[in-house]
Amino acid sequence: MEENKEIAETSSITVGLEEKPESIWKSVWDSLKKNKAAMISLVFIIILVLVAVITAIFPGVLPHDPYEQNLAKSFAFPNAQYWFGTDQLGRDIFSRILVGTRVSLSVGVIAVAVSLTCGVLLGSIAGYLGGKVDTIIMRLMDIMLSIPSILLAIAFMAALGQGIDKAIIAISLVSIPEYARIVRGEILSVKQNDYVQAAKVIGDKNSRIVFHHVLPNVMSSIIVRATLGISSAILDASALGFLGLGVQPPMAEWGDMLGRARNYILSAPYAMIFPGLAISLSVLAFNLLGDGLRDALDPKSRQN
Amino acid sequence: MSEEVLLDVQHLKKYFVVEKNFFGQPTSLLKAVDDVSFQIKKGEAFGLVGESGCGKSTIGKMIVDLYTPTDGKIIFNGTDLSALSKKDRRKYCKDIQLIFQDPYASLNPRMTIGDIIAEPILTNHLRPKNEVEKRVEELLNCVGLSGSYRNRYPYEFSGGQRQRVGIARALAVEPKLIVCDEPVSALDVSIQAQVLNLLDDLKEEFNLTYLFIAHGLNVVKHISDRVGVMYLGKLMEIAPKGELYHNPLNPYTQALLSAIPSVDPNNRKKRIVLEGDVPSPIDPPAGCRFCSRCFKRMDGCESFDSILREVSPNHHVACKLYEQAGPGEAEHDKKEA
Amino acid sequence: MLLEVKNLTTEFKVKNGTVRAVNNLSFGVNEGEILAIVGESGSGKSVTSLSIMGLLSDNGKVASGEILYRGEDLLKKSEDEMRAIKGDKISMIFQEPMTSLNPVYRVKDQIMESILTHNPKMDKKEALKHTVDMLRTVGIPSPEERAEDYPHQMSGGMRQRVMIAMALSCQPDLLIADEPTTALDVTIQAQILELLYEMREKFKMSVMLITHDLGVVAEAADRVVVMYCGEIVESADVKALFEKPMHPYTLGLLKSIPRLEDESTDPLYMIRGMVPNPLHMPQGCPFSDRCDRCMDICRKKKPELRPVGDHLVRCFLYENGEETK
Repeated sequence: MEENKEIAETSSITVGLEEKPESIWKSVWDSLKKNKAAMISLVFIIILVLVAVITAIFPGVLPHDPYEQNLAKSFAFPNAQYWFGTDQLGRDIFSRILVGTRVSLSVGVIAVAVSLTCGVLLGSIAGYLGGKVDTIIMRLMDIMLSIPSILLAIAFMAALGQGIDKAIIAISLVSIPEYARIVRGEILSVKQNDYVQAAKVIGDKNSRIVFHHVLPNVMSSIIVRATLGISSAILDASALGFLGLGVQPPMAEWGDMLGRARNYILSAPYAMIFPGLAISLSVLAFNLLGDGLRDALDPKSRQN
Repeated sequence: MSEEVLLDVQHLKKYFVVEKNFFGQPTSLLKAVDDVSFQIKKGEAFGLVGESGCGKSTIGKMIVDLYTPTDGKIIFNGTDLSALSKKDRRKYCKDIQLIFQDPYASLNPRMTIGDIIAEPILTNHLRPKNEVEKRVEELLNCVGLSGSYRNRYPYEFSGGQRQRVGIARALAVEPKLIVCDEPVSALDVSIQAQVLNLLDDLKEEFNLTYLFIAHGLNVVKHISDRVGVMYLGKLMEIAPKGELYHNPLNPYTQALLSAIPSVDPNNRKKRIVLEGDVPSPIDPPAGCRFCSRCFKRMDGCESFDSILREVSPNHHVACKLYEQAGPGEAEHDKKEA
Repeated sequence: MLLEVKNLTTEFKVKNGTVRAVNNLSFGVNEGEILAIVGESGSGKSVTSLSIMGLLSDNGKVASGEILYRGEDLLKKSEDEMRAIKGDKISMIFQEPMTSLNPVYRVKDQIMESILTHNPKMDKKEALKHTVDMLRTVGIPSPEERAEDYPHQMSGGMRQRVMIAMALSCQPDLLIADEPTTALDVTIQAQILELLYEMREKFKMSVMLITHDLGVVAEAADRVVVMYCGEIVESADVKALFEKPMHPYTLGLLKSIPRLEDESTDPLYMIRGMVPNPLHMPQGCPFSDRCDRCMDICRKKKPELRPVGDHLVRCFLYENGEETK
């Protein structure tokens, strides 16, 4: 035994005992910090969240009432008073975009949260248990995937009726299969790892193995997927809005604003350009952040 | 070593279905382990040797319940484990542990070393919660690591150190039997000796019994008391190690021994170089599995029953050459009779 | 001398600095000999072979030194010139026969490609015939049929034979074999070593055999270079090295191998500790922390590689040309 203790002490050269152990999340943050695009996106997303929260709590900060119609001032060109101009009903586009942030963000986040929860649950069950359960769940998901998601969402909306809450449900439902598939695939590969086998050998129950050994190790790809998922949910919500299936008027929503302004594209392009930019920039920000996270969470980039 | 049998493996089989017909009936079987029987006595180290695909690891995995046997019995301390329900079987987890081959894949990268070693203690309620930390430190010291490594993550460690952590995890439940599945083959030569010595020391200290699985006869030689040689899912020969190395009877054992390069350039012996490759274990032919590559092949090998026969005391061989040797089958059959 | 490596230093950029994987390394490969380079992981043995072949990964580069092939410095060659040398004059086989063949092409296509690249004038029929001949030479049964196989249809040993056939198809002067038998079973390892030996005789080539297995070295090599932490610690003729290993590391490696002849149940000899982190090398001799015979000077100064008898040894024990007791 003495001999072995000696080894322990000499081996500290490699580990470098003097350094404090670094948590995995801290090193992920360190490596994310180096990615400029991801950091700019993160700042932009934080601003979006702040805008959404502040306009909800203090509507007074808005330069104009986003719902106040004034037909006399319809289609005002962007100026000092109306920074982004006014729409066909004379409402301030800037204020409406600020208010619309809340709708778009909450649709994105809630839809992803709901679909992620269902998807992770279904994917974990299918991937971990395998066999017939796996076949049944995954064939169901395949069927859902075989219908274009926006078409499926429209169908759901037609059945459920209009409204932002229903839009969220529709978008959540159509993105479940994607998460289920990703989680199942990841779980299948993590399941093969010896440490999962080791957990079985020491007598862990299935639930503990899944929640303690398997899921934490597929977390990184789920996080990346969820970040990217928010952008596609925002896009889907905008598409529904554009088709007039999203929010009830007079609520402000980017896709809805875009859709209603499309008849005036030649006379008042700014009425479309600004909501369009809002959509594109937020989608871009979430995508870039997702890419950055993917790189940062890749264990290969963390180890020396 | 006592005479008491700790593990008795009887007619163990594991078939994997390779192909199914439309109705779900198997049409092609991979016979990874095909009717294997052996016993391990308390305090003994039994070496199981064979080339890749011979089924040695599959046997190890069946013993620790990672695979369910297709047929046969695994009798541990008098209880047939293969007949137990999942729930009852789990109670034996603390008696039988496994050390993995790949020290990189066998530790959860998201858990600290301390949590990895504490987990089996907590899962099996072996210590009150407030004593777990002390126990983890104790175990780390046992395997030659400093207790201060507790809060570190696996990626900060080298292969040899990780293998030590894996050993500490296995020891945490105070097992009676440890299945060592090629524990040193992924390590550097100088580290191999360290880990082999550690395993040897621990065996003495904690009164352990080992099933030591390896692909090379030289590694097994150092640690085992008895050695079994496997080929394509069948046991070819079992003997005490001195006997096996001095007097290998099965031509496959002879070839395996002869293939080990000697560390003496003056002794570039004429090796027995086997022709061809190990045949596929999918739908293997009847008769002796080795006969397609055997250099002592004779008439009747294709229909040989591949049963282990006791040629001299404790030396069992499955080979046509020794068919007349004795009526004995494997050890336990004799006992039953 | 066929290949001469002079003062080769190869460095890799990593997250926390620069790692010197090979440090001021010099050795030569003679015509027709099998030179073994032995070392554990991290010793720089594979990096040496990759430096010679110009196959270093993006974060690695040869910082200084010369690699002379028949007197010409390979490091000064253009990419095109190197491509003509690779495969034609110097070939390489790798450890992992599973991944070193492209899974989507038939075996014959892969061998033919390497033949046709270096002999653009040869027609396809001739190349195919040559391919089948090569497969027969490396001992693949019914080569006409096996040439049509995809790599996944072959076993590990067969694939390694295909790799050897491919490497030898242009009859190179030098074959670099990087752990050619490590991934194979012992009985197949014996076959492949035998094959390498035969091929050396048949094609009159030199082999640079990179391995961690001293058994393989004793079996196959003519001369041995032992590496530790990117440097040569000892080099000698194979018989001299095994008869009288001089460097404590070589000695330790030899003693720590479990031997078949050994009947004792004593613990195996072991080298303490582990290879130092390349970012935190000890100040003196890199082996000093693990050495049984470490002296004060070993921790302060780095020893030079010097001739001792018929060996080259890098150790202060042999400072005076003989062992200090």
